[in-house]
Amino acid sequence: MVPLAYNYRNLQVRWKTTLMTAFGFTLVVAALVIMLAFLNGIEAACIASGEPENVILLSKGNQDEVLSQMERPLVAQVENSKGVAVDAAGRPLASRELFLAVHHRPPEGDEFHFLQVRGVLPAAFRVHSQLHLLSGRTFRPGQSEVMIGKGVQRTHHFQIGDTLEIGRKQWQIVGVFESRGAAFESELWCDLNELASQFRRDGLYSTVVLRAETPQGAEELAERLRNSRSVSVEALTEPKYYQKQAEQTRLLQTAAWVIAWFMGLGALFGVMNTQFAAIGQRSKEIAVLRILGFPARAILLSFLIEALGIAAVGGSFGVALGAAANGVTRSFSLGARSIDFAFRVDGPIVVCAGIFALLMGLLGGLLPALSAMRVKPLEALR
Amino acid sequence: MSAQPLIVVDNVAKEYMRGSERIVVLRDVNLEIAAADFVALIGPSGSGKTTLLNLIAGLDQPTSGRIWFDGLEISKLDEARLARWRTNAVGFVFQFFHLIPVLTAYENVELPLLLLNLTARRRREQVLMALDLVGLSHRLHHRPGQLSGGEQQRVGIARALVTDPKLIVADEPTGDLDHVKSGEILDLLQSLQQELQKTILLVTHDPAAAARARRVLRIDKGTLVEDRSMHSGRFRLFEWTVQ
Repeated sequence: MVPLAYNYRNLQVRWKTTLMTAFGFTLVVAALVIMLAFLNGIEAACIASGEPENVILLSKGNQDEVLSQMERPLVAQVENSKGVAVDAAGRPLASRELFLAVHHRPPEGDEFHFLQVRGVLPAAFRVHSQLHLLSGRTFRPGQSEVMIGKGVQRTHHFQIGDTLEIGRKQWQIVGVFESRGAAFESELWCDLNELASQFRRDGLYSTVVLRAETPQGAEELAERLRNSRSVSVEALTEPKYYQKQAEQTRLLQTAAWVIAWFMGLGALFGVMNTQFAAIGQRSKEIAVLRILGFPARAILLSFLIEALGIAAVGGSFGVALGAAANGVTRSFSLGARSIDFAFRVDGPIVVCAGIFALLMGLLGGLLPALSAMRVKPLEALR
Repeated sequence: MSAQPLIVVDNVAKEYMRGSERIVVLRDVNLEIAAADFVALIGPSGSGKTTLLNLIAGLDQPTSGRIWFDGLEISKLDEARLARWRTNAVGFVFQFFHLIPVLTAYENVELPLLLLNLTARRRREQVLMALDLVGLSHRLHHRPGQLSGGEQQRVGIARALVTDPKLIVADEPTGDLDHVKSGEILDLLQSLQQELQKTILLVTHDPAAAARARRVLRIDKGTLVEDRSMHSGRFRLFEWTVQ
């Protein structure tokens, strides 16, 4: 094998070209990492939203709670289904919820924006067990009070004590909650009846969330309700429901990879050009190595290593640059709802971006390395 | 000439095609070279002397005829086996030195040893010995650009020597050096032949360089036309039929 010092020092000698080519990889890989971290963040927020013991019910034909509408008799019937867990007082662990996207006009500025408001009853806090208060207190039944998810607080800079004009009333923020990064953190929670009366939805619910004893029990409960002849509802375990929501990002994921491959082609041609130029300048050295007895495959390998070296250096900086986006929070519309998420750079993304960079380096380096391998020593030395 | 020659060239011809035209570079070359001989190949430009050197050194294959080296028919070997054989059997010295500019003198000399199955310690011993033989022990870590032309050629000779090959081929090794440096390089090659019993095959235009050899072969138009032993006083002139 041709010593690695040969490749390393050649890269060093033409450091400007090396760095320029590597910089191409840096930009491509950074863009890829950021795009993947964006999608990963959304998916993580969706996945975190689901508790495996919970079954979410929607009106028949609806896959999203934004459009779902269930009436009280139906809700009362499903709450008492077999397999629903009960609390100490023997009441079923069921959370009736009304989910609305409402207009809100901030006091300063005249632009409206949407807020996602979920009206719940006290049972909601037993069903959604991962939700807990960060500061302040929970809203009181019958009062125009809301607690806000920490995503909402981050996006809109709301504080406890602020009032929000929602519908015809002023609502006071009384607490901030978190929910392990779940989609709930992008919502305002308030008293169900207060919200329903404000928007004339008395007796109507978007969804009912039933809690089973075990994840297995939740699967069975959802299956039973889906196939039930007496009730007509859509029933999914929460993880499956949010997984379906996350699947809306599939198209984005495909687009991200298509963009990455096109940008990657740019980097690929960059390294190809650099390596062809290098081989043109070093054909006599290649000839000497062949004459000394280095086999053609050693030359191939040597030039591939050089291309991979450029890709690895550029790719590493790209990963580092892309990783700087880790934890940055943004809001994103997913279907009819908005979700607050944090860019999430994790191990698989780093590995994926690394492999992508090396693959581009390998493909870009292959043709020049093949041409180096085919250098005819006697002709090159002439 | 010893009873068992190191190199036997038997009726060798070399031709190239340039488009539809056939170019005959060597024809009917018959030659034996004894081990530890110092042979100079001379002749005008384009006469075929470098081609003959390349064939004997296993860098090219004859169009017809056969070449043996130490009993092995190298004209039958495929490219990979020929490359392995070259590493062990032949050291190369070039006119323009052809050192790898980014490697130090030590690393340049070590290159051929990387192809052999040697320990790092053994490699180090051999590299140091080769550089010591050419008088460059003090220049181990200098890169070619930091060495004079004469020193670079010494590194080239050390690289040719380091695998302890039986044959050292040198194509115009003094062509890029001044008179004084040329003399030093020729002294060195001569001492390798005399003290280490290396067989030297030298291609040169320079009569002074050829005069160092024990035997001079003149090639003209692809044919060996003269074989002169410099020290025995023998003089042979061959007239090959030009076809």
